[in-house]
Amino acid sequence: MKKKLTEQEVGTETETIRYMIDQRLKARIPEQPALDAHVDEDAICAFVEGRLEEAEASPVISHLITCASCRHTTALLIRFESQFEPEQDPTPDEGPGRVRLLLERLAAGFTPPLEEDAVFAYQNPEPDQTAESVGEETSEKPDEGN
Amino acid sequence: MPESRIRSETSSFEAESLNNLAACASQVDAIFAECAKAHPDFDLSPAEFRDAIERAVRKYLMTQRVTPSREQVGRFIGELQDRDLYLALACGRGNEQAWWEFDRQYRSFIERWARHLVRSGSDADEVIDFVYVELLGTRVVDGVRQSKFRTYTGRGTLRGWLRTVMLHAVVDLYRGRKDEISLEEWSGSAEETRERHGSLTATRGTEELMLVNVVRERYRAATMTALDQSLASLDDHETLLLLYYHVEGLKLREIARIVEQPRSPIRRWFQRQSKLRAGQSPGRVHESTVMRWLEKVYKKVSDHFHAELANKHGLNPAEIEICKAIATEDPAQGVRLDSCVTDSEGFNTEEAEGRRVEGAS
Repeated sequence: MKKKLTEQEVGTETETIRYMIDQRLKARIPEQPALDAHVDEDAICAFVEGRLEEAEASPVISHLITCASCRHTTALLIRFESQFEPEQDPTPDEGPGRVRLLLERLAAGFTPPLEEDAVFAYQNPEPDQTAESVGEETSEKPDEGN
Repeated sequence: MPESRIRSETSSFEAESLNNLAACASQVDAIFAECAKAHPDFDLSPAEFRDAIERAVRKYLMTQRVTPSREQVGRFIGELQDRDLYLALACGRGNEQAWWEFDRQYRSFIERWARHLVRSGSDADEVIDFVYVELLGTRVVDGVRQSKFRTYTGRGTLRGWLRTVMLHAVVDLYRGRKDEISLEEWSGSAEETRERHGSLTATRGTEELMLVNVVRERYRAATMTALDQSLASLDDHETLLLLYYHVEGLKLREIARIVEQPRSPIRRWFQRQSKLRAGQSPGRVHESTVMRWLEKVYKKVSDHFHAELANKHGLNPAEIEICKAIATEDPAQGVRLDSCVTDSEGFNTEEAEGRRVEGAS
């Protein structure tokens, strides 16, 4: 006949099983799915944002159970997002200073495979914008907020 | 099944699915018209937009070998982040105005998120540069630049997608570094995770008799088998949430946030488990609710675990207690098998062991 547990015993029992689960789950050696078997950014984003229907989410959840790498990505997104400050209004149209600097750095870092690729489609649309004004604008960049 | 029949069924499934997509053409055209009206200078053709929608439908609705109905396809299209998709497609094909719009909307966010992920300013700049390179695309195939934007389908928000792309960029950046510091280390979030993850290393008593060690090992093996079986009996949602809590170190309130997502399948599952009607369910899920849910899962595992040990391994309650004691023992104390392993019928450890834990190891 099954003995009825006291409240204290139930608490201890829960603690015991909780500890065992904790240790067992951590001790499992994660599988390493093939590189192309990982969930891509598009699906990870849709999953974390809760936009997938159950049928769409089912294969993602199954994958996250076995793939430590993808699960870790989703966990980090959840954690970082919860610590991230609420989004402010989009930056007002203040010209291309930042993006131009970025593109200059990028252009210095790699050589496009075709010549026409060197001409980015994102050149400064204001021809009178000088390097000095770019520098001024960058230096006045608002606080990063972190 | 003959290969020709499989091919036939595949093409039939595909044809029916695409027919249902074609039936939504007016819906797609209307969305496109709205987007084009808002941004006439993005220079995107209706055909390109339709192709992108088809790619999304194929990716998310045509994977289960079940033909999505016209209504399902229509709902799916209606849920797409169409403005984000329109912008991403235009950026992906290198439209200058689209890039200015992208920069206006997301520049600040990209910089803030990069600095949120990594504390070092120079690393953040490196991540931003890397992501912009990916977004621009450095490879050209058949005259088309392979922009990262081409992988965005509009199922989630562009902002969420950028978050994920940047997180992967950070992981890739640091993976190559010699010191192999974890992402939590760079971002400073390691401490709280470590606190919860402080684990006890099980050590084996070196002074016990060999016989006791054999018995102990068999009980241990039975325990692990039963525990694995119990964990395997959980459904996928339960397992994933346990993994988030115990392995990834997510806190209750962070898990509550996943469950809070209005359309999250995990939330829907959670509501079913909690026997909440959607109408009664508050928008907010509290940590205590998640805690209660976790306790239910622990109870489920516990019940299954006891049943496994009793029914499959033939252990009596006293032996099950020994299994649990071995699994959770304080390495400094050890478990006295010789004194406590006697069942109600008076079998000693060796006899009980020989009878009951067969095949456990």
